[in-house]
Amino acid sequence: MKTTNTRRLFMGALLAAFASTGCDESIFDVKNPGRILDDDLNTARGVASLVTGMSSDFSASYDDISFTTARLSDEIVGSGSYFSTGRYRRGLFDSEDSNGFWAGVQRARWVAEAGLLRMQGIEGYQYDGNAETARAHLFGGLANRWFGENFCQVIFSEPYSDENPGPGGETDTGDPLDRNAAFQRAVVLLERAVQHGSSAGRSDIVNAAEGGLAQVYMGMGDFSNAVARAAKVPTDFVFAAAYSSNSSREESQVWRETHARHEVSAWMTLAGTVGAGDPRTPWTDCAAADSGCQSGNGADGQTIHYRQEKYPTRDDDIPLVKGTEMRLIEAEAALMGNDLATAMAKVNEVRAHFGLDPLESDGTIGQITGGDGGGANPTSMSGWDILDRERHLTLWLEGRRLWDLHRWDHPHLDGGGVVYEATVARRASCMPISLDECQVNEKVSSLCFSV
Amino acid sequence: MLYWPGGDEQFPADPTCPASGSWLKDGYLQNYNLSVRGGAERMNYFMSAKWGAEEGVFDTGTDATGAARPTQGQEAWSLRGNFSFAPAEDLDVRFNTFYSHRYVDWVPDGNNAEGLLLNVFRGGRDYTNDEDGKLLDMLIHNINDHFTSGVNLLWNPMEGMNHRLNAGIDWVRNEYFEERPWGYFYVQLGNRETDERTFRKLTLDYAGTMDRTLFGLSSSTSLGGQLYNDFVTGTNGFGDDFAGPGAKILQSGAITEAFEVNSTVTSGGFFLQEIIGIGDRLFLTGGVRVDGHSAFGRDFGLEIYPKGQFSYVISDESFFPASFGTLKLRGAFGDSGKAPGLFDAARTWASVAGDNGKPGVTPDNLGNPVLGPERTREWEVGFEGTTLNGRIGFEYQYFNQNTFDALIPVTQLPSGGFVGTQLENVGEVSNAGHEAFVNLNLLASNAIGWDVGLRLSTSESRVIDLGALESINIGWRNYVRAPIECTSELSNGVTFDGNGYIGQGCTPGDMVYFPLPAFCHDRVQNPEAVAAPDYTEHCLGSTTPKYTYGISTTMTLSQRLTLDVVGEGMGGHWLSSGTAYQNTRRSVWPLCRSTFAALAAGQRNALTAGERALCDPSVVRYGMWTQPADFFKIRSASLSFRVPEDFLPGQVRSATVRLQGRNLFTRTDFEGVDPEAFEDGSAEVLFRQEYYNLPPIRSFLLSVQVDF
Repeated sequence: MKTTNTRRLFMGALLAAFASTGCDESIFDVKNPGRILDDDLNTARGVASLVTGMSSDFSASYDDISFTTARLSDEIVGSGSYFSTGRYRRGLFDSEDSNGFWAGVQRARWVAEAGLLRMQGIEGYQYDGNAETARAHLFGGLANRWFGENFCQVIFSEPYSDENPGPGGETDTGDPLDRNAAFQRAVVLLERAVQHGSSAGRSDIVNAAEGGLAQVYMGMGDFSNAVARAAKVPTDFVFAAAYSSNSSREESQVWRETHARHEVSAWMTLAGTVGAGDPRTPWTDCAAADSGCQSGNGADGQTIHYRQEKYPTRDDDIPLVKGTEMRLIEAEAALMGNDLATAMAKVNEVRAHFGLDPLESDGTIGQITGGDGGGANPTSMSGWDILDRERHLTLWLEGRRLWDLHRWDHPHLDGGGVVYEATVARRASCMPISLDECQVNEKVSSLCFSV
Repeated sequence: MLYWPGGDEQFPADPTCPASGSWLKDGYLQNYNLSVRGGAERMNYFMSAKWGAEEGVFDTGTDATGAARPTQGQEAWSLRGNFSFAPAEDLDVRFNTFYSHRYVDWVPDGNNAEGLLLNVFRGGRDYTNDEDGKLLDMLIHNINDHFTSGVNLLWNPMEGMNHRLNAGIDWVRNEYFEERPWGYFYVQLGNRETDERTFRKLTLDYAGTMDRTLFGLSSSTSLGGQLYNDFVTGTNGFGDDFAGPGAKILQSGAITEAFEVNSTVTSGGFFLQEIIGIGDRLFLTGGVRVDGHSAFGRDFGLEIYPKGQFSYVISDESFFPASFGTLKLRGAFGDSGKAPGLFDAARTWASVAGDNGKPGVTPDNLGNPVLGPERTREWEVGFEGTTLNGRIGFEYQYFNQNTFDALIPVTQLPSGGFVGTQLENVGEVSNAGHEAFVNLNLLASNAIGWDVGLRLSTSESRVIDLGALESINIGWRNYVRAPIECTSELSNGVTFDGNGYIGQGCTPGDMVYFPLPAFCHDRVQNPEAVAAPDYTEHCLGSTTPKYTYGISTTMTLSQRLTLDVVGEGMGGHWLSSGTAYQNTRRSVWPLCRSTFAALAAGQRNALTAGERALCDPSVVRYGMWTQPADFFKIRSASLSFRVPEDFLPGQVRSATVRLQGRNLFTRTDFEGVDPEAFEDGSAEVLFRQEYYNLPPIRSFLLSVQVDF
């Protein structure tokens, strides 16, 4: 009898233990909220989030490219303790260095391109003439511009296939391609952005896409089309990658590395010398008594910290397309046509826009000579040296200088340095295929290198 | 190291340094324990309570206004209650409950621009303009609460049969607060972070066992199952830019941000086990368990893990010489698994903000529908026993683990756009080693007793395969590297300072295996040449010790006075000194003063590549300040005295007074701060690097234990 009672007691406890887990929250429940399943995005109501995500992914990596190409091109000088800065300022950049930047631009272009394919198939979504469609094309086009401008070679493995070709008939094979392939891809996307943006009545998207086309055509060496597109963009127009204090992901890294930390400085750069007092290249001498900086020196404890003030808050956007650059594209085209007068007129139109006095050339078109003034000749008044300085200062910290150095085969690449000497005869002028890509893409496994 | 009197160009006087001239001070600690136990015929109880407080060793002083800064230290208390009763003759019921609470105040430390050691060690080349006391205005503390409770039912309905049912809860709550006050030098508008996490693990465990005799053999058959439910929830909040001074909460910041963690995972399994006993000296065990887990891919089923073991008391055999003592042989093998994280198998997107606060999505996890658990197969053999009338006790074990289908975050094809990593079942890693222990009872009499213990353990890991991957960077130049074929270059590798590297001297054509993880970085190749350094990446070795040894000795006089010393050493591993490297880059590393002077005198071209590689700030590399981290330490030395009973009051049964010193002595050739002062050295994180971390502190404890 006692054993029977004990058995009941034990079995009751066993049942109670299992049953108790099934009250308001079962022990068998599984949850991990916060993620969105892929199929759940195939809804018209989700398109706005998809396109905002494209913008977010673009911005999340574009500030990295702005910050890093600034270090790599001596647009700004390292004043901190990052190991990467120690390499970049000496002109070193290899496949492993490329990993994060390669991934960032690939994600930015893929979310736009794959998003557009998804948007085409979403029931109930009005694809043609929709502003969201135009914006998605714009981000896809600008991401491909960014890809072509900064990387020595490009690769596309997704999302275009024989079943789902790209808008220009592209299929992605994972083969290494000349960087022009990214520019060509950008042209198709940006033209579609103009088309859909016009239908949607969005002049901001249309202007940005036209400016993007001017940049891309210039990248391809087609100055005729570049000038034609540039002419459509007003001088005061700006389209920028969005940054915000709303969340840490939306903060600009350029702000973070200069204001929250002291990792790079304008000291001794072109902006810190020729650009002193220039509204395009504002900075604060942190050693000044009333500077308001945390410290007078950089994070390395010794480099004088000239803190950039172009992006003084976390909310400051990084320009992607500016009307002032359009005028400089026109100036460059004029120099290539030996038309110094037109070139100087365009340069001075830009300077006037910023409230700066006009420049007068020495009457020669000349060539880019470079020098010790932060990678550009600080005093020469030849047409090309003026253009070199004006693009440098106008596009300062916008992620464009490395591309200019490369396409101009700039003398600074031949062992030039600011504060720190380059340790290579030829500085890196573009980012190689990333080591991560080489490790998992058999078609390029031999193309990576280390320095 | 922390005292710089000033007058040194590299380490100028710091006006914020405490009046004592040192950032360090003596920190007092106190601990009190109280316990009581008792019971009756069918009921027992045990209850205990502990309380302790510890001051930190940093002198935090006062701020610019003269107000006392946050101090360093901790306070902790705990309660325990264990109760058992027998409601029936064949049923035992036990309740165990434990609760602890800990509150810790920290000073900023480690790899942190606002770390005290980092800024003190960097002298004038720091973030504070050498006013390091400003860092201590920061407030950092955390609170930890831990509650465990369980009920255990043991039912023996008949001879040879028992049922065991356990139900338990393990609940942990961690809270972390970090605040830079308004006006703080580094973030002038101030900010605050709070992080709160609650972990709850529910356990339900049943096992039934039947013991019987079959054909002259003893048999014990067990069947059971477990169910585990892991729940994690928490929030992490930030508030930036305060409007003014005063105590803060998150919404005091003009900019706020919050994150949430919330997940529940269930796992469970069943097992069947049979133990056969032969002659009460040889026992053979065979078993299998079947596990399922909610995190497996949708195409994945249950996992089966077999196991087996034997133990043989060979000294009970008639042929064994009785004069030897006791000897038991044992061996075992078994499989186990580690499940992937929840939803690692699914393709998902994450919510993000863009366009200044609008909702957006970004690729999160690529997904892998055939994702399964990582499996580890281990076998071990060993023996244990005593000899010389029990004066010598010994134990030895060899183990060999092989982990396959290892869960490794594999980088996805970046040009495919869904960038990042995806957990995949790739890779194979092995780990093998020896563990040996000997205890010598050298003297045993009423007048004097002396015991000496020696132990040695080795562990050698090896990456066997990484699938298609060659190398995975896990941080701070620590790598998981796939084997490579030995080349003629590796077989004739150049050494620097006698330090070799993995593969050096190998035979061309053989495979070279890397430890887990391996430290790889640049080492100078032309150290003797008067030239610029020529660097090549070398993998120097494992960052975790390959062997650990210990020695302990206990001597007791007249059964009253006891001297106890415990020493421990580790070796065979390498440690990167971020402190040395970063200080060299700033020309403030004392070991490099002669090179700094030569550089200042414009004699760079007269230096050898080796001198420059170590101490020239323009070319120094992390790899050059990565050194063998072998060490030996006296962990503890104590002297205790048992008070004669005649001196004790009537209610006191015994009393012992003990004086103990910890971390009294260190022997090492490592030139960084300390071979045990590294960050991210927890068991969960593979990589290690010394980076301005506070070494284990030396402490002295006086304790009194009284039994009533």
